[in-house]
Amino acid sequence: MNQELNNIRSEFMALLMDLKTAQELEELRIEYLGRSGKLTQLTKTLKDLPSEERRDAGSLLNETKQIIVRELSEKLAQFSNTASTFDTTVPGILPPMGNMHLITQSIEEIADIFTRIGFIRRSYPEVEGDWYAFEALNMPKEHPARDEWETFFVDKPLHNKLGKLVLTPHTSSGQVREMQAQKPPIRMINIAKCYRRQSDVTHVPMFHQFEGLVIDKGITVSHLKGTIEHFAKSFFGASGVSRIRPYNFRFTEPSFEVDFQCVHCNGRGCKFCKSGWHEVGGAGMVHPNVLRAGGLDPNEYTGFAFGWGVERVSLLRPGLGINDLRTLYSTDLRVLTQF
Amino acid sequence: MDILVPDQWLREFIKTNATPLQIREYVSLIGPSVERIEGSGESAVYSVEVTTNRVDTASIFGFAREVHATMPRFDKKSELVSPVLKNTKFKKAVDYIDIKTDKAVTPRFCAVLIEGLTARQSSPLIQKRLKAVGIRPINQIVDITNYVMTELGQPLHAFDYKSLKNKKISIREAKKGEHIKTLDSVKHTLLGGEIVIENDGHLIDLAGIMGGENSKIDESTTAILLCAPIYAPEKIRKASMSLSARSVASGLFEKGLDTEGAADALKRAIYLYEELGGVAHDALDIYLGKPPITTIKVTDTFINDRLGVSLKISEMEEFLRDLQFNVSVKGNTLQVTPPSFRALDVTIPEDIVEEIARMYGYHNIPSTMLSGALPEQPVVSEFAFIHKLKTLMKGYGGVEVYTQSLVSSQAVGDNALRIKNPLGAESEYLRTSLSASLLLAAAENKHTSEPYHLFEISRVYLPQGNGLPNEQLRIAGVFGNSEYRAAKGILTAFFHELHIKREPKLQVVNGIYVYEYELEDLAKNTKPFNTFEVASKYPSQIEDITIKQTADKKIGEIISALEDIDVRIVHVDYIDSYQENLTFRVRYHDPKKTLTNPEVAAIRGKIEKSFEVI
Repeated sequence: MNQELNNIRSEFMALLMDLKTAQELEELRIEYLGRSGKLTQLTKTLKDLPSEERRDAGSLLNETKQIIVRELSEKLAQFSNTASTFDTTVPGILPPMGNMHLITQSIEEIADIFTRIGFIRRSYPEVEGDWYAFEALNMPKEHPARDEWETFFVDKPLHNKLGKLVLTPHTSSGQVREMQAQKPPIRMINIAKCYRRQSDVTHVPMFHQFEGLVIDKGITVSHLKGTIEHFAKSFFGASGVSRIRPYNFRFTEPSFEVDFQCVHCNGRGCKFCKSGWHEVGGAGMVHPNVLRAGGLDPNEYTGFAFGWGVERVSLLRPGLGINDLRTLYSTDLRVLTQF
Repeated sequence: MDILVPDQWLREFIKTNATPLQIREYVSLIGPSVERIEGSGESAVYSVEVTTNRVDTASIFGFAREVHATMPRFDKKSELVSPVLKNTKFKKAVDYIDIKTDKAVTPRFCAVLIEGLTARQSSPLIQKRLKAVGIRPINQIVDITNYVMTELGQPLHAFDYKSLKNKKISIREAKKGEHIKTLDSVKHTLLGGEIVIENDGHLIDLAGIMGGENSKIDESTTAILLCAPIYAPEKIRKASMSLSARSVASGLFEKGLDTEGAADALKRAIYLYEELGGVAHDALDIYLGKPPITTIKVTDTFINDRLGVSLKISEMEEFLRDLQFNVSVKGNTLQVTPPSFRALDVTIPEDIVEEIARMYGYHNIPSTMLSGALPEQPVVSEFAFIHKLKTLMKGYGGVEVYTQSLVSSQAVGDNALRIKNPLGAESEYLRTSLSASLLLAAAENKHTSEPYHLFEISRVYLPQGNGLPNEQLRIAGVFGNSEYRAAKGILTAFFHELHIKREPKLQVVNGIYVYEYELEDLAKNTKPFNTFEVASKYPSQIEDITIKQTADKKIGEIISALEDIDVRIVHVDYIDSYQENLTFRVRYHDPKKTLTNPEVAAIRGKIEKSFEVI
């Protein structure tokens, strides 16, 4: 009987392998486990065996039956999963899906990049006296450099200490406020709305800048370069390359223009960049007059500052595909839900 | 300001083996930024960005000086060729003109009488060069003034000598209400303080901006009074701004020109006019206000400490000499005197740092990460809170939007800050609420029929007397195509997450549900976590009860009333309603024991006394 059981088991396994449909599976089940199935028949002969053999055969019979039952159900499960009774292509039910704005995503990433190296995020007034926006930044009244900031003025009488009220045309207005609020060491990152009287493909009247200010003993141009590089690599990826070139700002000396290498062409020059580089904004060593305006002694402290456009650096990222800055200020859900 | 420099014209003053592309690349790294090269080969033109402090580079020759200083740093040959000048004699007085000046208005005024000219067309070369830099050729008398201005950066003005009556002119500040008609036929009524030139009781020049029509060069001109003036920069700037009258000349004057350059420009022009057959008299030079040139003492340590490099003092000296600075070295101190054309720009040791740094090459300065002590970290961060709120709203399906801070008069009440110079009526005021902007955003999305939730966290600007406005951070949102309960549920969950006990408030405007909260208020009331309570060992009993609503009771009131009936009614949820029948899910709980059915029945009995339970 043991031999017979082994044969049944092998035969069953062979037949099972060739099965194609649930119908055939059912037929196979009846052939082995049905009322007159092969295994059922054999069970009926068990009682005819000598008692010493009966125990062994009985347990083997049980084992065989269990195997067949298990194999059948596994095969059935396979059929169920692949058969039309269960359609795995049915779409899932979505949870509510919101969107964080691209500008918010950039701001948080920028803040993170700088707070990682000890910067503290601050915020300062957006409506500010022109003393902080210009004079404290070494731009006396009527200085032609003020023209470069197409400034909005608030229709209000002069404030006796702050001068004319303006919408801050740059985050640099926070520099002297920071110096007044905090003794060196200063490592500030100020990300805020700025306003300029301009509107075209690359300019919007309201935009965001991020301003870095570092003041301590022994701060050098080399530290500024290191900080710019840290940002370029963190924001644009390991291949992010930056450079500084001569420029002029009244509130820094020396002053620099900061360029990031075009990520589309790796600096070879393409339709996005023309020259292989993108200008992102200014930087420089804090002018001694600005340190003085902040109550600091330029013989004791040196520092650097930079101010770049959040939108500008965001749109430089490869694969984003937004060419018009104004897209970021769309209120159309079809735009917003893509961020 | 951007200037155009034709390569061929540049190479008249600089002999170099550098190609235009190399000039562009190298000069941009060390000096002014060469933004573009238009055209190629012989017709290549550089577009150069000149910063306000470097008006000395705003000319062909000025740019050539920078190229010359740059090339040795890139192992390129370079030789600077000075423009050819006429060796004219300059006198303090001449017989052909009497000029009255004022030091505060014109620190230097050079002039010369040139006769024997004809106002015909300029040579093809001069015409071609002027066109290449965007100047329209007129006739050779006028063209040379523009040619020399482009070449040397010093504006010149030629008066028709025969139009000058009495041979007397005076240069002064204008009085309020005076009139002048300029070359472009525009009549200006002056506000006072502009610089003007007067002849025989009439204004003949809106100085530094544009000449007067009454003294202009025409076909009959044979003799000119050619002037090379230096004007007070702030007066030119103020005049050109207040009259909205700009010209290439005013753009140069207002940045502060080199007083020494005026005589050279006149000599250059005389040379060119004489080539055309003109005859020049001795020139007049009224030089009343020579600006001081600052000699700066700075140590090599000061410079190296600011750059993070260790340059030798001899290298520093070489860089400065290449830039035509006068340098002497004593020990570790450099004594530096800038050339006259840098007198206004270079006045403090930091300026010397910049000159040495750019000549060394910013690209050669190493990059170092910051080290040293860290500033004290703030305990509470508004930014973390903003992030939390945004994350919550996003999680509930909110879509963040950035709307403009500047809005129309309709979007604000009576008390809002107005912009003096807005771009338009749609952006004339600083907003005092976010809701108005978000409702406009909702109107923009009429095309969608799906429910949506737009939100924003931003500042509003509330006027405060004469001081700065209160810039108040707020969160606001709009729900469109939404069920009231769904919208309210989001705010309920929002407050729940913030551990703030508050009934959400929604306004309805044209079917849109709107909310707006002050962040400071939320921050004050939020808790980072709830105080923990041990979970009860005893089970609750929960049952649904349907109550008939009476006209005077709102659902919220019924819930409060139910919860007040017995302390063991610990929670009541609203399930739904059918006509006037409201179904609530009531949870009974006793923290000290398991409630028995008779006990629950007793509490239910109290409910039945207060309400009609179905």
